[in-house]
Amino acid sequence: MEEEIYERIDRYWQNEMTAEERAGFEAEMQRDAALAETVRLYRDTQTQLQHRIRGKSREQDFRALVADIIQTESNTTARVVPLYQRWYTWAAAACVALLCVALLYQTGGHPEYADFATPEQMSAMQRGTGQATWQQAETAFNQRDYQQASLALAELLQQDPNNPDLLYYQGIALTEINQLDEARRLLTQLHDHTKLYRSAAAWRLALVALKAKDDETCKQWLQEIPEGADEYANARKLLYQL
Amino acid sequence: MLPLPMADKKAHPDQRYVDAIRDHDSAIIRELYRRFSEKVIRYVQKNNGSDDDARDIIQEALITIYRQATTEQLVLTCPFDAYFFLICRRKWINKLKEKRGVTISDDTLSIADGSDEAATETLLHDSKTRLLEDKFNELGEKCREVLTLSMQLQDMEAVAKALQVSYAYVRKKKSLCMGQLTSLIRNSEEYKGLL
Repeated sequence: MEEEIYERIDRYWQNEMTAEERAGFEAEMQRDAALAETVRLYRDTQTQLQHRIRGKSREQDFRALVADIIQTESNTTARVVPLYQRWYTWAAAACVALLCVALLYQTGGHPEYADFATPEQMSAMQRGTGQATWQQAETAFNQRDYQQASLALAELLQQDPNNPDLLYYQGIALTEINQLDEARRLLTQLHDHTKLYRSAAAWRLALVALKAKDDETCKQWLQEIPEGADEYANARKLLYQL
Repeated sequence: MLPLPMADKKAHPDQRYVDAIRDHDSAIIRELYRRFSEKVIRYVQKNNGSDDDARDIIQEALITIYRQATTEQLVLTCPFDAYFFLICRRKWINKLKEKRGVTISDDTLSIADGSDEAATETLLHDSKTRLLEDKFNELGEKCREVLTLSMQLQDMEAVAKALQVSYAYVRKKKSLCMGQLTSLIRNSEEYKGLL
């Protein structure tokens, strides 16, 4: 399992392996060059990412400083704006244009749940304990057999009632099979108690409301989705259509 | 992915420009701009570019040097002039290729002062940083959030608390997201080109 390898690699670099486990892992790396390469790349990527994330705001200060020096030195009012700002403006304009196109092509009917509920894939990356039931849930979910998926997910939730991934996928499955009250309850729980899932849950709660033809509640949830969230563009589009 | 530091090399007196870039020293950066920008501007103008294009390239080149100088020990063993000009020139050649498919020859005589190797190394570092950023942005929102906080806080208990999930969950998620990032990088065409 790929995901197990990454958990082991992480424990290896965090020095959390027992001496015996560590020796075994190192012997494995000696035999398997591809594994050794993954282990090395994992560490290097992490080191680099740490530098990037920690140094980000200082780099922005540097950018601003350089832009200012170039502007004053070039003795002109030329458009020396930091590049990222220009890129941003451009992207914003493109978004507006896309929205206009989307609006133009709208037939004018009331938006439907099916137009916005893009099928999600439950991913092996999120699998936890109870592998066989996870596998069942995952297979059913990805084949869009939401009835079966929700049975398996309910079983998993009994063992692990606060697992955010389970709550999220069960929320989607129940919406699909029209158990809207229960879907709403689970997604609200996720939304209120797990910051990591807040905007994803808000989007799904908006879709529950859309399916229940409760436009006002739908709008309220949509307005909660911040810029930068995965579903932001869809949320804005739906909001316009409502 | 990081190249070996050049700690054993003897620094050129122009190292002060690299240090100024690293330390945000505006007076010396201004001096640097006055001394070295004209050559770049003339070069870009001669090769289908405007003054503004040249200034963009200079800005990008300074940020490229900044990135290397702040992540590893960057010891300059050649004159800054040649090193800086080479970085700008290659950036401009790449920009032309991207923009209009125009290819201009990279025909300036290279001088055996080590500036070519130094510029290559700095640009390689920059490509790696860009690859990391591109692949990081391809991750889902939740992965980006988990990784950002994990890198900022180090203490995974604090990360779990901030995201309102359990410690076990966040540990697992962090390693899976790092794994996903690692494999996105490893399977990319750009990565193969950097090896």
